[in-house]
Order: sequence, then C-alpha cells, then structure tokens
Amino acid sequence: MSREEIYGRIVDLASRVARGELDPLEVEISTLLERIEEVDIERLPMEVFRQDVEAIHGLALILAMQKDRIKASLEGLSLDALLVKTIILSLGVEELAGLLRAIHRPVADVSVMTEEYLAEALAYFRSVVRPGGLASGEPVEVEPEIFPEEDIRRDMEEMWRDLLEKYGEDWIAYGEVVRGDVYRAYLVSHLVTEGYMDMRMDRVAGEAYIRPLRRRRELRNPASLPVVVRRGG
Amino acid sequence: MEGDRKLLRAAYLLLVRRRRYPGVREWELEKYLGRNYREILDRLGEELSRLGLEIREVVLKEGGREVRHFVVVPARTAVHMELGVPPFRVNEAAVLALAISMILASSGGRVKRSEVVELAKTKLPEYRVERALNKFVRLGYLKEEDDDLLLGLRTYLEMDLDRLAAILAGRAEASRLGGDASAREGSG
Repeated sequence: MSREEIYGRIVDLASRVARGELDPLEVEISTLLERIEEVDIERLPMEVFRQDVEAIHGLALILAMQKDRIKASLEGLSLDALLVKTIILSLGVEELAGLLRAIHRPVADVSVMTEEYLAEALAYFRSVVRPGGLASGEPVEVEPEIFPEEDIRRDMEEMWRDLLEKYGEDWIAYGEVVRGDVYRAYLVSHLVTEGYMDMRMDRVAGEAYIRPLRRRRELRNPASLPVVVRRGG
Repeated sequence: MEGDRKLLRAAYLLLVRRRRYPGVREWELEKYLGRNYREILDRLGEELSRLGLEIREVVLKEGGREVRHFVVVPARTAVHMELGVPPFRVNEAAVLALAISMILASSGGRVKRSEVVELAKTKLPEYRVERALNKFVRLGYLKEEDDDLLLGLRTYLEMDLDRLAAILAGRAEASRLGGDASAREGSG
C-alpha cells in the first residue's frame, strides 16, 4: 500500500468512526501509527505533508472516541445497538413514554423576555411564508382557497362513509383522520358543524378526537373549537 | 455582605433564563462569582434543597473542549415523581425516548434519522414520527447533522441518561435471562 493510500485509508476510517459507521475500538491505532512513524517528514512534499497532518488528526479523533467508548464501558453505560432495538420493539407507546417520564428532569428557570428573544420572534415572523409572500409586518388580507361546492359535498360524504365503515362510531384521533392535510381538516370541520360528526378535546393530553355519527345530530349550543393543523411538521 | 450578594448572583444566574440555553456555564460563574464559585454553589444548593431542587452539573464537549453547564432540576422526590410529567404528548414522548435510546446505543453517538423513523413506524404513523422528530430538533432535544440525529443540548441538560442506560441495560439483562424486564425496573 502506498503512503498516499495509507493516509487516505486513515482519514476514511476517522470519518467513518465519526459518523458512527465503525466502532472506534475496531481500529488498530498502533499499527496505523507505526506506518506513519516510518515516514521521513522532512523529505515530504508539501501536498503529502498536508495528508500526513490530516491522517494524524484522524488518528487523534479515533483515539478520543476509543477513550469515550472505554470510559462508557467502565461506567456500565455501554449498550448494544441491536439489543436496544429489540427492547424498543418489545415496548408499547405508553411504555416508551413512561421511559421518558422516568428520566426527564426539567430545568427550573424563570422565563424573562429579552431583546434577543424579541428579535428572534420578529425574525421568525418575517421568515414565515404566507399566501401573499413573506410577511411584511403590515396586515394583509388572505384570499381563501375556493373549493367547488359539489366537490366538497362529495368528499364530505366519502370521508363520512369511509370513517363509519372503518371505525363505526368509535372515537378516532383527529390527527389520524386529517393527516396534516388542510383540505381534510376543512371537511372534518364541515362534518362536525353539520352534525355528522362529534368532536371532543382531551385537555390533559392536548389531543382532539372525532367520531362519525350514523344519524345526523341537531347541534344545540354549538361552540367553536380551534384546532391547529401543521403542514410538514 | 459580599457572600450574600454572590449567593443572590448565583441564584439569578442559575434560575433566570437569559439565553437560548437554560442554566449557566462555568466561565460565567467564574466571571460573576469568582474562582471559588463552587463554594457559593454549595451554599445555594443547600438553600434549594429545602425547596426540593438541586443543582446539576453536566459536562459537554463543545468544539473539541469540555464545557461545564450548571442547571437547577427537581430533586428525585415524591413530588417530582408525582408531578414531573414531561410537557409532551404520549406519542411525542415515545418518539423522543426511542430516538435517545438509539443514539445512546450507537457507537458514534449518532444514528440515521431514517433508522429512527423505520423503528418508530412500527408503533406510530410515519407522519406523527416525522412531526415529533422535527419538533424535538426545533426545541433542541435532538440535533440533526446531514441525515443523522444526535443528542441535543437540552437532552444532556434535562434527561438522566445514566438512568436511561441503566433501565435499558436492566431490560437487556432481564430479556437475556428470559425474565420479566418490567419487574426489575419500572418504565414509569
């Protein structure tokens, strides 16, 4: 193997270790160091000298990660990735959430408003893309999307029949029905308003639930229920 | 009294959030409290313990050097166990627990986002998983580099990773022995 190939291999090993693709403890540092030590640095051309420095830096990175791994092993924190996956697969959603509850120690702090926070908020507001382009700070009128009436009626009926068929009159999580689609949220809103669906909020969990009704129900004392639909996370 | 003034300064630095990250870093304590800042923290710790709080020190690597962070967290008291529910929905909490566990078990402290999504998809719809991951990256619990997920600053500060490792190791040991893992270490 040529000198350049050895340097290239060391740099590649270091980047694979850094990316987590290779266990640092699998790298034989001493053998690689011996190969580098054989090089007569004073006679190296500048281009190869740069590769030599990069390779030594790579070896130092691997060594540091080996140290971390050994330290973690000694502290009993070494976990096998495959085993952890198996454990995760065996746990339900509630159990996983319970795991987080067991380890979460929220930081106590007193929130204050600072100029930095206000500047961040303003920058965020200005970066939000709205139907009329970037927010300018001036109030704008947003043109609502217009859907043909007959399409809405057809899609409402299709959604109502589909949900009744799948879930009967059972409660379903709002997010599962809407799936982040504003048009579906629009349909649900009409179905609830017209009495073809029932809706409730679980204030503790912060979840909304809906259920299709076989018979249309007359609404008494209707109340508005704002639900946020996030598109793309 | 100089000592009392420093105690108040320490309380302010630790409790009043002035930056994106909570708590205070070692260099700030040295700057505002002096080199003997640990004595002041010990005194403050005694005061806080009466309120069921404690000062937690977390050492993190930033730019190749170790940086010490100090934050105030609830002590492991009955009150914390009773009221200390994370401010996330059950589904989100499950995704975060899953991601943290996978990153913790990875060799380089990072795991492909697609791997986390694949595993989480066995439990939740994909759009929920993606949304939760985006949220936790935004909140600083996770960090995204290229296509990989890493632990974010808030996870190091707020999550008891030693305890998580112990719970997972306990479950692994229990499953190896064929016993009931939940009997060894509760998940809640």
